[in-house]
Amino acid sequence: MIDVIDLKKYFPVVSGIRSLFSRSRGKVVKAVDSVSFQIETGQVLGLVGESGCGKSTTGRVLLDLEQPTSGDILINGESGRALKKKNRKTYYRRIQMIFQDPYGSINPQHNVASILSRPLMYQGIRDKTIIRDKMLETLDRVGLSPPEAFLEKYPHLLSGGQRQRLCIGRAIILEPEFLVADEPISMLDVSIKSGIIILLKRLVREQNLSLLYITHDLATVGHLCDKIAIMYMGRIVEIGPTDDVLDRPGHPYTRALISSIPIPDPSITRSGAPISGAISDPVNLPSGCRFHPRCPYAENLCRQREPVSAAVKDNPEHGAACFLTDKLPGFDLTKGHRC
Amino acid sequence: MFTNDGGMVTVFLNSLKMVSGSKLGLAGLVVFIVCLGVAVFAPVLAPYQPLEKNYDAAGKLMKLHPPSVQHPLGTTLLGRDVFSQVIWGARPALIIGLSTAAGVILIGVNIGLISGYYGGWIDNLLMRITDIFMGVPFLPFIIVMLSLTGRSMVTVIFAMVIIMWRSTARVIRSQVLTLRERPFVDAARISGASGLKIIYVEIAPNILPIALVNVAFALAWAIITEASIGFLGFSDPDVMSWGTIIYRSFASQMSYKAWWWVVPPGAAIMVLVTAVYFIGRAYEEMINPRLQKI
Amino acid sequence: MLKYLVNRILFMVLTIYVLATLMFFMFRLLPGDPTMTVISSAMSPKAQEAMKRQYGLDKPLYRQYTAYLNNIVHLDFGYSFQHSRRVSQMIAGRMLNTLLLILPSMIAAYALGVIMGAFIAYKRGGRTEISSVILATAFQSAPVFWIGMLCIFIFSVHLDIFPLGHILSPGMHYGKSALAKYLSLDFFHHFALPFTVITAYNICFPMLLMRSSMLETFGEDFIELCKMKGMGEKRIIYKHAMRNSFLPIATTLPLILGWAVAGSVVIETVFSWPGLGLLMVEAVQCSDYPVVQACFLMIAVLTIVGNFVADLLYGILDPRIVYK
Repeated sequence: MIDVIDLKKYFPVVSGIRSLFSRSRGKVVKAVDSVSFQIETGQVLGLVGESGCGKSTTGRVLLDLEQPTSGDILINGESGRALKKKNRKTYYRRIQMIFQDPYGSINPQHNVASILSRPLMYQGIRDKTIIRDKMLETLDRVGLSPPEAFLEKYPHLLSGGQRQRLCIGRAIILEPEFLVADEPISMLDVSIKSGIIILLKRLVREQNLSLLYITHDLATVGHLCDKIAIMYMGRIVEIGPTDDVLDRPGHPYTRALISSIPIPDPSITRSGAPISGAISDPVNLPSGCRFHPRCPYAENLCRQREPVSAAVKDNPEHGAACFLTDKLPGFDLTKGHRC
Repeated sequence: MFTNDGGMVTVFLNSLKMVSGSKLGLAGLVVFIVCLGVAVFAPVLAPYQPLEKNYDAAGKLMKLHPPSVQHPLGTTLLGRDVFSQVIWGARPALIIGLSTAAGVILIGVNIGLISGYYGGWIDNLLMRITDIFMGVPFLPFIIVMLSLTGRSMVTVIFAMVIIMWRSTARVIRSQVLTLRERPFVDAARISGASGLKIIYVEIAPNILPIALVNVAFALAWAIITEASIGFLGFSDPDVMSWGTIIYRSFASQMSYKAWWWVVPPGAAIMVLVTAVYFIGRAYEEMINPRLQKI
Repeated sequence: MLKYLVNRILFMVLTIYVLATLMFFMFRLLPGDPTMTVISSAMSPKAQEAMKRQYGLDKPLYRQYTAYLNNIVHLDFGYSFQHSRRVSQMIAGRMLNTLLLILPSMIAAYALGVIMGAFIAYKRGGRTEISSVILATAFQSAPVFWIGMLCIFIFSVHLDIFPLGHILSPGMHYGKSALAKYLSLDFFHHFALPFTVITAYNICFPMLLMRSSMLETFGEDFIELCKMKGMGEKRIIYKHAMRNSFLPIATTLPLILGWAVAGSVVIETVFSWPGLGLLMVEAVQCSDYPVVQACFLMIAVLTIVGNFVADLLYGILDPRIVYK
């Protein structure tokens, strides 16, 4: 069970000595603003949003690649903050990440054996046979077989899909309890994507881990995720079980995202309002609800006060941060979006 | 590129293979190896001792004799054999050149790596120091050093190293700045790697090619500088380097009467340095394919 | 822009200060004691004391240091050990001579080098390219003093076209006006050979760099676009490729300028050109340390100011750079 509590990451607009003199002193970009969610063991949460909404930053903050401004994560009850303080290395035994770019995230100068063995070695495992067995087992698990044939290979000999499998192998070799996958298939060929999704699904089940699946693509989350969180400008605006969120979206932004999924059937026409405009200026956030400048339903209240998450259709599992959830026109979108 | 194997040695061997793939690079490599051979086997190859005075059959000092069968490159004012001096001159040139290049790379690469990776005030400090070194006039500084500390080969190397690392450090730093943003650095960090591990295990192998190009250019530059120091008369007087040979002829004011005393050592410098440049350029073109003919 | 200028100038002053300090401590702390050359141990202790007082050597180190800095600010480098003249008097004219030789040849070398580099890149793949690259590399690899000596040997000794060295023929006087001196035919007669040698030597680097920079630019998409528009090759080269290729060359200008100024030591020795470099070499040889110090600092100042000017020039050339 993973429990992320009130995670915040604010970036100062100017930093260093210059910040003492700058006019923008004290101004921050709230990239991640009070984000909380839970993931059960063996389950997948999809974190969905436009680029720039803070979803990748959330992942990076969880992995401590960015210092969180505040907030904590509980990994099976243990505070990540305390774990990191005690020993950064043991923290990374429990939480790992898969990066978006399978080309950039592998050092071209290292072969497969050295890429896979490094995490083990950094954790203090020195025994060569243990390392080798573990590597072979992992390669097999991520579908790179025969594993012996891959050990000595260099990354430039691997295809994009094989590279991403290697990255997944590197992430699971330490048997973490929590895995963050940041757009793991967005840079792969279409033909390979489903293979990676299936692999992730199997690993979650087999290894009993929790997966945070970060993506901008609502179309794929249905296949993989048990729950979905929709993020907009640093906030989670809607969260709930996948079916509930996709079928009964309680936030206008979620509706807009769903309506933008292409449907491979020209006979279906869509209701629902597409969003217009671009994401607002992240330094000077709009007053009230952050979405109101783009929201077709916005009322005066939305411009004045910021909504908090409330249950949608009396479902405690499903929450949306919108004043108008109950007043929204019916969302009788054809099932076409579940392609 | 050169990624068939990982170890530093194999990268080096592979780069040799790549260099010999280009005609000029191969030519440079052959000349360089010949020079190395000459330096190693100087005692065997040189017919006379470099400081030995030669007398003719009548017992007269062979002052400024033009090239002959006996002395293929003639003799100096003191009757010394120019050919032997040029052969022996390969030794100081290569010893000083190679040690300087090694020292320059060692300091330059490490400063570049640390400065580029850590950034912030460390980077600021190191780069400002580099900028200050950029303002040090190279040759005059070495001359002052040598005049104050004595003229041994070690001082020459030391003086060159403490100035020459500056450009290497800059080049390496700018490389590291782009490398450290690559996701594999993040990947290493979440594997539990420390800062130093990331620098030397993850980033360093990726700047090795650039460092090797810099070795070549530092070597070339060190050989020329060593010759200049010799020419100004600040080299170790007991070591017969190519620069010193030219200095002796220039100082004796006989250089314009006896061309054979001046031309061969200068030509030797030119040939060796050209070879080194060709090796460096060939390798640079290999790692930056856009430089190749389109 | 103004802020950048101020910062840059402050840093320049800091650099000069650091180098001056370095010089001071090198001369005081390294084994060869420079005062030994003037204060002989054969003198009576009293005379030694008097000499020390005269040069301020009886004071504690930090007092000497502040006095030294103070003198530098006032461009007062004391008296030469050798000539009993004010050092500042000795170096003023020398500095001008060095600049007169280095600056014109550097400008000529860069201008010619860029044009020739563009030309051989244009001729890429052909004989011209290969042979020019080989020639330029070989020429660049030869020590410049050796090339100077060969040129003197051929043009001065054998063909007797140019004088053997120096800046003016001995016994020539041009009245009080310095201008008359530097505009005289005799000056240009002496100037021609060293100028040509330095220019030719320094052409190689910008030329080779321009060639590779051009080759890189030729691979860019916008050049493809020009070709697709049906633009003529000459026009592409002059209007588009050369402009973009020139920027990386401009960044090397301070580096080369530094080499050239520092290298003046050698070239001035070969041509007996009475500049700072020659003065410094002579001073080192006779342990005239006040002169050595002054020469070193002045050469350093030339290098640093050269860097500064080159930086500014680069900013003017590259519209993408905005100084903050």
